[in-house]
Amino acid sequence: MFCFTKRLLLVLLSACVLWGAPPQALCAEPGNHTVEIADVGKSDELAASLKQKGYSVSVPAKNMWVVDQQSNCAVWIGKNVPLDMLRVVIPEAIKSNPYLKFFYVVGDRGEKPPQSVDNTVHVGGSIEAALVKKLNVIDQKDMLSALNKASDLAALHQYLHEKNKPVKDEKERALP
Amino acid sequence: MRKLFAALTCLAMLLALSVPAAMAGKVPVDKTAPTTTASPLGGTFTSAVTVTLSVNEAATTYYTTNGTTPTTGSAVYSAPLTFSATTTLKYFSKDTAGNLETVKSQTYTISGGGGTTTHATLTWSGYSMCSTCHTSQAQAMYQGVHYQWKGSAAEMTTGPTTQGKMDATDGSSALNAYCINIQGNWGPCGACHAGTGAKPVATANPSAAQLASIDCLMCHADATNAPYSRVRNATTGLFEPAAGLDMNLVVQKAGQKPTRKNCLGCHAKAGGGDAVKRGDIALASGTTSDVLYDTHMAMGNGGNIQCQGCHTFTGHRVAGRGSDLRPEDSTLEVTCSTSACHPTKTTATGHVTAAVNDHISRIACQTCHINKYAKNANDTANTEATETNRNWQVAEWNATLNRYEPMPTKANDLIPKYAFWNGTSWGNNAFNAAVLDPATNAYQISRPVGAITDPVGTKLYPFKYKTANQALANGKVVTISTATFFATGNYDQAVKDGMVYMGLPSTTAYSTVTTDELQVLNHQVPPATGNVLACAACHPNASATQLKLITNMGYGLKAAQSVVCGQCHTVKSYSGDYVSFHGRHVDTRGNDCSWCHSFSRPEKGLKMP
Repeated sequence: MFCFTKRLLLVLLSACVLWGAPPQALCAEPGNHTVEIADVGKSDELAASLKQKGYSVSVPAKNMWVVDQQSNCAVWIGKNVPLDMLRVVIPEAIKSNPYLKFFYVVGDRGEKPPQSVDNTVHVGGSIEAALVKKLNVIDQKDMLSALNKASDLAALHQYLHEKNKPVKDEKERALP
Repeated sequence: MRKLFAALTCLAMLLALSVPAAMAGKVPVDKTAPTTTASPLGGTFTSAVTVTLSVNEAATTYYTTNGTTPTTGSAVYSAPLTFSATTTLKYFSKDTAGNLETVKSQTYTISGGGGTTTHATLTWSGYSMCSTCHTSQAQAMYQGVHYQWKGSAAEMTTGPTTQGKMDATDGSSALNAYCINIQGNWGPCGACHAGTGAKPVATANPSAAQLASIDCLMCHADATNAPYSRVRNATTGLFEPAAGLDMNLVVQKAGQKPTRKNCLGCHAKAGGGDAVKRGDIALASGTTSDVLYDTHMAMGNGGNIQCQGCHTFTGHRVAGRGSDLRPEDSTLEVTCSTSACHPTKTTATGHVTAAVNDHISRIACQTCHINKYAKNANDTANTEATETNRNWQVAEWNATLNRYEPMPTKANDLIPKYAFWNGTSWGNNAFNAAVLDPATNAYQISRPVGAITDPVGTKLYPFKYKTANQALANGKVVTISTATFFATGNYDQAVKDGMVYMGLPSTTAYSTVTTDELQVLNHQVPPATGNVLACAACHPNASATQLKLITNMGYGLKAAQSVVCGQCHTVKSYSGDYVSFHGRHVDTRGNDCSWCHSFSRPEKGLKMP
């Protein structure tokens, strides 16, 4: 009887923990999040590789801001995209596009994107947007290291938040 | 007496000696050397160049043109010097106080053909290398509309004498029904600026560094044999050549006039994407062989005409201005009828049909020869739909730019709108009072100026018609904060931030209205045979398929039919077609238009009955 009560309590406790868990933890499996890849360079190969790993991948139609690997060198990370998924997608993306240098959690500058963007990692964002947001270049090795070291998604977000803090330019520094 | 004389003599000598010494202490000694300026400065010129030397004070200028160092025994400058071959000019001046200027040197390279020969051995050393040799060209380009994005508004009937795209609070900043204006959005807009990334600085005397901020390769790179592309430097934000390019080859091949690909790299993408803004210009215009799409520019059986075949450049200033553009770069006009192209088509006998010739003085070529716009070329991706409405109240996410954008409506194969145009334009700029057009029930953004009653010179032209949903506050179209809108998609907040920029409290009440503009159509001309508008496109009014002249263009009778006809006879029902009816009154009787209509056509030599 005692054992049954104990077990019941444990089951209930587990259910409560799962019920209260953040949605991203529940959606950690590949199928619930999307990888978008800008149509530059070897985007098809990257898409095929990630599809093979079970991820939902799309290569949207080109627009005038989809230019080449050098200009499309940003990765927009949806805030709900799980760490495990980023640990797979970002290294593959870096292999595919050696020019990737901006890594940004969408919403970190106060943007309020549509909900679908929160569940999407976009590879090949425009450098124009990165410069408008005053993002900082993050060395690929540092990014890969941070991915490995991050204890959880929040830690990775915090790392990216710190790395992307706007650096005052020369003019701003000169102001009294 | 002798002693007195000697004393006076001594006193006089003392005075004589002391006066100059005293004066020397008061009159400044000129120890500053004069400064001589050559104009133009040295550089590469495609033809003979005339050089003027000017000095900033009274002085004599000495010079040589054979490479030797000039002395006071060299030739004295007295009139402008003309060099028809490559020459090194060395010069200095000596002022009246005897101060000598350090010898200066300018080399004038006369290339005779665009400088391709001298380019063949170039090694890329950065953007400044272009203006180092082509200084006068860089100076001309720097002052042009392509660089300043601002210029003479001589063809505008509204606003200050200088207007353009640049965000300004002096009423010179154009609004449009696309991005509204570039307030807060220089970065992405500047991607199409012919510079290396910095905003242009308006100055009559640009420094070498400012001239070096022109990216000549955007227009002059050989897009086929040595393509050039550029990327932003991730740290400075300035442009630099894309990695992996053989920039030595790029500059070696860069001594050419722009091709369509160069021009379309920006002009086709205006408004935010292929064909979005112009409606008659798309990337396809650079690559297609579809003559039905554009017989002038199409390759293959088309004319393969480059942009400057019509838009001639003089001193880096381009002829031709869209009716919705505020600045004009050149006072030269683009015309279909030149000695090389259609030389007789604007004459009274230029067309085969007499009835068509009757139209020439009042109907622009484009009106009959552009039957529709925003066509898809048959050999390129179908990306040529043009934007017909931009709704700022609805935000769409652009994944590439990681931002919201206003929702566009696009369409293909559109029939133009028509209006009389005398070559000048009306425009609503930032901070202007908005004007409602009762004919369209929309607030005007730009309009061609002209009327059916205008004198010769005003013609009927085809236009793209474009609307937008924009905010109106305090009687002015709001320069919405695109930065706020892009980041949040929050139209209300973007309007409020825009109102603050305009000096209005953010609590000011605003409404959302429709704005509209007309943009003249000049491109996408198909071959005339089988495509030019037939008479039935406009005549008679009741069955006109393209343009209803009486309903929409002011060609109706000046009064009721009974009144007009009653001037000569009772109202008659006529048999036959419109041509014979109209011909009986005009061609046979020679009645002036104003006898029946509210306009006249004095150039036709008609008379009142």
